[in-house]
Amino acid sequence: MFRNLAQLLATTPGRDRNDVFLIHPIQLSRWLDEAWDAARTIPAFGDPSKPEPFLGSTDVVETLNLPKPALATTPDIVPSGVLLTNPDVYSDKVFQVQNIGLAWHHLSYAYVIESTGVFEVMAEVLRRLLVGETLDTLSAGGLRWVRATEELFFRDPPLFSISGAVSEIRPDDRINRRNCMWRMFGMDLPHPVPARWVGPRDGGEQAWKSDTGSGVNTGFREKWTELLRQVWLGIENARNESGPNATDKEYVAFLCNALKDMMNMRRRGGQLAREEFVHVSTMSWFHLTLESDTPIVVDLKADATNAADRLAKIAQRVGMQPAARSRELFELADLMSAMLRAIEAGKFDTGEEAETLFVPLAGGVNAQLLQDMNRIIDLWQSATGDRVKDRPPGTVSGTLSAQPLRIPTPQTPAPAAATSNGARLSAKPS
Amino acid sequence: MPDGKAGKPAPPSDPTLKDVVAALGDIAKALAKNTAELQAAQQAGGFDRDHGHPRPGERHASVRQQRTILDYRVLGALVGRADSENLTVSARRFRSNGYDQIEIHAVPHDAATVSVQAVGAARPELFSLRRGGGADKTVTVTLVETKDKDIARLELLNRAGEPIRLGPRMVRLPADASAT
Repeated sequence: MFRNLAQLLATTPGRDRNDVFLIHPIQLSRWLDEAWDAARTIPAFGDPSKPEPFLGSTDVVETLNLPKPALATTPDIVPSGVLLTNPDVYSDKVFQVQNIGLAWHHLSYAYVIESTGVFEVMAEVLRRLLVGETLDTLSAGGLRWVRATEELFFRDPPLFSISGAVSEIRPDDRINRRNCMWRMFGMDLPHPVPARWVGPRDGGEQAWKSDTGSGVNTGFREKWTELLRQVWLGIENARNESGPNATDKEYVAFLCNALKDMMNMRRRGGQLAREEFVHVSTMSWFHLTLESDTPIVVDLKADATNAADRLAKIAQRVGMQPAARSRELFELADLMSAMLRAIEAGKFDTGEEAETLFVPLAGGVNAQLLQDMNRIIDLWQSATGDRVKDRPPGTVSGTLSAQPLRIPTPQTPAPAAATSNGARLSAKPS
Repeated sequence: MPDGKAGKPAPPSDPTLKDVVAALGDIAKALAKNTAELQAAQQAGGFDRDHGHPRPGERHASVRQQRTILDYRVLGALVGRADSENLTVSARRFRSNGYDQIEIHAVPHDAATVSVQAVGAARPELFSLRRGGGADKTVTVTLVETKDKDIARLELLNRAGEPIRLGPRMVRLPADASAT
């Protein structure tokens, strides 16, 4: 959500995306509640006659948001007072989104960004800056970042805030995030929880898998990879006017439906909505920090041309190493999130709709969609090692179907162990 | 009926015939205007950029496909990937003299219809926009079939019936509300 705020600032005359770091953490914390509420006005997506409920529930946002004032003159409950025109001052008003609302990224965004190792690297940076003098002295901007980051993500959240998805019941945010990702995608982060941060109440090794029951989408990766493979087949054959065309748009739609059903199963009744919001917000802060040469990046002498290189330089300062494929992961996060949101909303439920993923339509109306899909395929293949563009043996000569006999299901038992830091995404060995 | 001077037809002398000719002229003008507007709408919707013909191997997107593409782009804008300009419109629901109304802001000139879909309804309520070209304007519609219902989706359609903008979800108004 902090990148949403950055986008709003970027469209305000005289302001800049990085002005988010000028806003006081108390305002940023309150703003999260207002950003949650801003999802209330998002229109229904999917077939207009039977739209899929956003976040698995038609009213989860309304259920968990703050109450509205009884009268127009009644003040709001602790408004953020964020003023886009001047982050140094505040108003007594709730932040009003002028357009049709704000949405947060899909949980996949949090998963992909955290897979870069950014959270653990920045936690170590913060720790060193706060407990000793092994790093350089900070500028005013760097100091602001340190203060805001510690207050927002490394201490108990304010009481009764939407961001308070941590308690005695689930005391560790690291474990909580892994739990959500495990349930939604059946995948672990590629790095373990650093030993320094494993607490006595964390419930033992891989505690995030405890008591999840059958509510884990273990087949996500196979189905997602198969979808990418089939879309690539469609892209390859999009302008094929002679010879056999192995593309099957109905099978692509079938895979989209399977992914939609799988993810919406985890969202029934609005489950994971709040957790997704919190985890995506956390990762968006660190992503925004590395998207440009922000004050803390400059203070750490990590100026570079992209987020992955900045992360690598910062990690080096504290003796760590980010994921080997963090460049791909940073780029993949936004794209995959938007695509999974659209799939969840039922946007590709029919062959006719699924075709927009790979068939160029007149006037270039779906050019953005085609470009995004192609990038997702390239980035996913490179980041994970899943060979999306390879055809099954025999397919080229036409002896085998381009589609498998049955929809893919996990071939191996659920992954049990996380790999070392910097490895590829680890749902299965590649 | 050449008049023998400039080769132009002479104006009809019979008053009835004069009316018929004038009406034919109006029809010709209306046809030309409508064709131009339709072409403009198609071009604004992304059609026929290649001199009115799809490139080899391409075909036109159906309305359903257009909706999928618009929704995907709006989703991307909502999560902050891009600016939502030219994808969405803001709107306000209010009650005036007992009527349930929606005021839609910055309606683009190529919008021809407002489509309002209530939660659970099988089909949307449609409102034709009768307005000239020019700058984006504010439009107000009075709800009939969808009055006092939660609005799940508000679309602006061009003359070809394709969705070109998406508006916000709007809950029903309290009975005593004057504006929201």
